[in-house]
Amino acid sequence: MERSASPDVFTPLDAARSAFLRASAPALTPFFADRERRVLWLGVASVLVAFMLTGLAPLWLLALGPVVLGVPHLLADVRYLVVKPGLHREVSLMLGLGVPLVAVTAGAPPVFGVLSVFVAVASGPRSWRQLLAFAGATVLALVAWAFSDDFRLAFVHGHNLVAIGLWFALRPRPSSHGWIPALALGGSALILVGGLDPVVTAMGGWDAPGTGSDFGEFVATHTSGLDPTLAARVVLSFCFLQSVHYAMWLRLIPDDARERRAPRTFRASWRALVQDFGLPALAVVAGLAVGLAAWGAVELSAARNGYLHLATFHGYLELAIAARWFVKGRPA
Amino acid sequence: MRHLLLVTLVSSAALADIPPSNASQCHGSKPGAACTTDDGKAGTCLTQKVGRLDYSEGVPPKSIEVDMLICVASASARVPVAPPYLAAGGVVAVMAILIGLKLAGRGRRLNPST
Repeated sequence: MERSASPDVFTPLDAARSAFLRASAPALTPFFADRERRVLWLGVASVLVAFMLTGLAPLWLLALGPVVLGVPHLLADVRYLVVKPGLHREVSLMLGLGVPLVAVTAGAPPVFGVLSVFVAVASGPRSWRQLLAFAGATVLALVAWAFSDDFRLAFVHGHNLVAIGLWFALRPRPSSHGWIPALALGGSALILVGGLDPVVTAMGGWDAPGTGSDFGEFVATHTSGLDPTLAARVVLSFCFLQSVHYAMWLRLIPDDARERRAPRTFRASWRALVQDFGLPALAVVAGLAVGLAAWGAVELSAARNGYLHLATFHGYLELAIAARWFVKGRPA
Repeated sequence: MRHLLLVTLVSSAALADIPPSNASQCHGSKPGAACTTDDGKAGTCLTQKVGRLDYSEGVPPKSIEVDMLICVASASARVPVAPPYLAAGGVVAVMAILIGLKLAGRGRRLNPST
């Protein structure tokens, strides 16, 4: 195991958490110690907080979410989809996935991103599932090729749901965990029929000049050809599901993917991260995250757009790995 | 004449609530900044009037006209410059190589026979 010095910042953080857990025992102990309960309440709370923030300040959530949480969530993507399952040891698979993902991030049409799905499906065993996945990928590629712009838009919205599906498929889980995707889908449906409109209006959330962007801009870049009112609701739904997407990658999937069922200390989490990626790669990622935040402090809207260019690959990576899980089964 | 046609096309597209072409590359730039048009030509970010939906008072929105920076191809420009998203692809490639080297090294340590 690779040893790494842990920054001292973890000592007070772990001490504070221990003090909180001792103070809240025994009443809250089961909600932290038992993974099933912990994931359930954390998931439900994440969805409810995302819904509440979408109603309170959607433009701020749209502007700040990617700048603050974007890079960490990309790291989690690579960690839990590639590194933890050991896919990085399959060189041909990595090349096959990497080339189209880099190409689509560099501006190639979305059909290039879909090529990664073919690679992932081909890496699985011959079966009826593989045939089905090939057929699905072919349809997706044809749509991406023929309707590039519309596909890109649909994918921007749809990839938020892929993360929920990946989380749910990660391991066998109690039926109570079904409440989390049900709440996410229900929240989205409620937003689409206008359930959040009065809240956003009452909170003045339709306008936030400090973000450097406005709702019209998000409507223009995230929808196409819709009735203006429905288009605004689609943007609100995107805002909500994007927040749920971040919660999946930064909270629920890490909790569910590790072997240890009980929570671990901040120091142990840091050591595990260093073991997975190594300090040089983490330094680059940290530099990106800090650089993006600094850019956002000066030009928030531009920083968000810069991040979105960088993050193009991750939705296709999620889709490709989801297809691989479908064909090959989820990682043990 | 070509500029007039471009502005007309951009304006009508924006009124139809479609993202205006050649707009994203000027996002966050200042007027006069160099840019690359959607079809890869060198250009300049110029302020143009485009139709927008104003949601500041809620739904349904009002139609307004706003100034927006649009990348307009320079008449003298002949050499395409690399679009900014190539930088994003480059960053991802460098990240992938760094992480790959680290992980490959770890893989060798875990599997010394291979």
